[in-house]
Amino acid sequence: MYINKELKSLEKKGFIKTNLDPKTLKNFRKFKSKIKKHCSTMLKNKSFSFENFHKIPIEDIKLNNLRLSLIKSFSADNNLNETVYFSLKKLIDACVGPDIIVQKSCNLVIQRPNDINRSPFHKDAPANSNYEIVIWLPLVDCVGTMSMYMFDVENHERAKIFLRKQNSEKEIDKFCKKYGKLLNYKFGEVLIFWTNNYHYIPVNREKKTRWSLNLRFKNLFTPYGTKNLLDYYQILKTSPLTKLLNSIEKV
Amino acid sequence: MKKYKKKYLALLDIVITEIVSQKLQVSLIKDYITKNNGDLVFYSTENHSTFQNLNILRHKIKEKIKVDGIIFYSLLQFCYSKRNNIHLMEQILDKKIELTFIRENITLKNKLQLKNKIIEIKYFPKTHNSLIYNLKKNFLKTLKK
Repeated sequence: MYINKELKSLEKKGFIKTNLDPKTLKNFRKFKSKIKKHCSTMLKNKSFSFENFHKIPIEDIKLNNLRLSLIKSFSADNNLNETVYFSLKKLIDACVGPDIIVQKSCNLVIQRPNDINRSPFHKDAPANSNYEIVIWLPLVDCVGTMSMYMFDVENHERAKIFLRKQNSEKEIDKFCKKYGKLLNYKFGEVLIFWTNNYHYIPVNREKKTRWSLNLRFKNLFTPYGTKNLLDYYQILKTSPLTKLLNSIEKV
Repeated sequence: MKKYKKKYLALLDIVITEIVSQKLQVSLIKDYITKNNGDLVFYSTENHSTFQNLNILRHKIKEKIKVDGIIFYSLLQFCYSKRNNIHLMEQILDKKIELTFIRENITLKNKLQLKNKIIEIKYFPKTHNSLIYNLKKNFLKTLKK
């Protein structure tokens, strides 16, 4: 019943805020500890904390190198993709079906307070497939501007028209405050959204650094955008019928 | 003791050259080889008459080339023919030559690794159907000039 309600909401708005399966939370905590350890070693900082990361003086280039090395470290470990999938299995299965592919490497975003470097106001499709969902998973509690604005499907046209103009930062902020939804997320809560939903990441004006992951799932057989199997996605699971067909198809 | 440096043969993708130039393909391949502490010993490419059956690659394999690995720009190079070229991959791996595909960031060191990726490799041409069709169409237009 709970899932049905969430699916209806997703169908109506294009996004939902939901919880990771509590049974899998310990895996995510373990994963966080691994990142923490990696950062402590790389930055030679024993008292490393995610939220206070911005207090460590680090140049943008070094920050990006740290981010890339973290992505590389958890890309080597397929468990993360699987952990995210199994934690949201019912919702993902209901959205994309039984033959599932997943982004090969999970993205990590580190947003320090007042850092203006961030993605613009955009939607992922059609560069990404229209038949795809994005899981946005904060690694720290995100309040206020540590979060991101999501736009209901009903505001899709309005956002599309707005983005045709050259807008200043102020105008974008004003537009997003008026039509977007900025929800707070605790660690263990996630945002699931359709690639066709507009979203906007404001400048983080809080006093803590935001750490978040994003990962995409789609069906193996639905149309692709500019990103495709093996260059961007890998197979996570296939249905019994696909397995059967695969076993009799000639190599 | 000096560490052994792996020797690689690069096989560039001629079909995609108008989009990703040969120079850029070589640069990306060299970058991979440098990071893996290897040496590029030779590079080659198929041509208009061999890009589907990969005869130049087949010939190189028969020549008993002394390399540790063959680096391709993309797995697309194995998909320009209607026929699946997985058997050719197996032949190369049988000779203890590893296969690397830069665009897809995949290295296959042995047949077990190929087996583990087999479903994805089999579905790759299907999911890239329109890209392969358009690349071939674009490539073959030069014959009509």
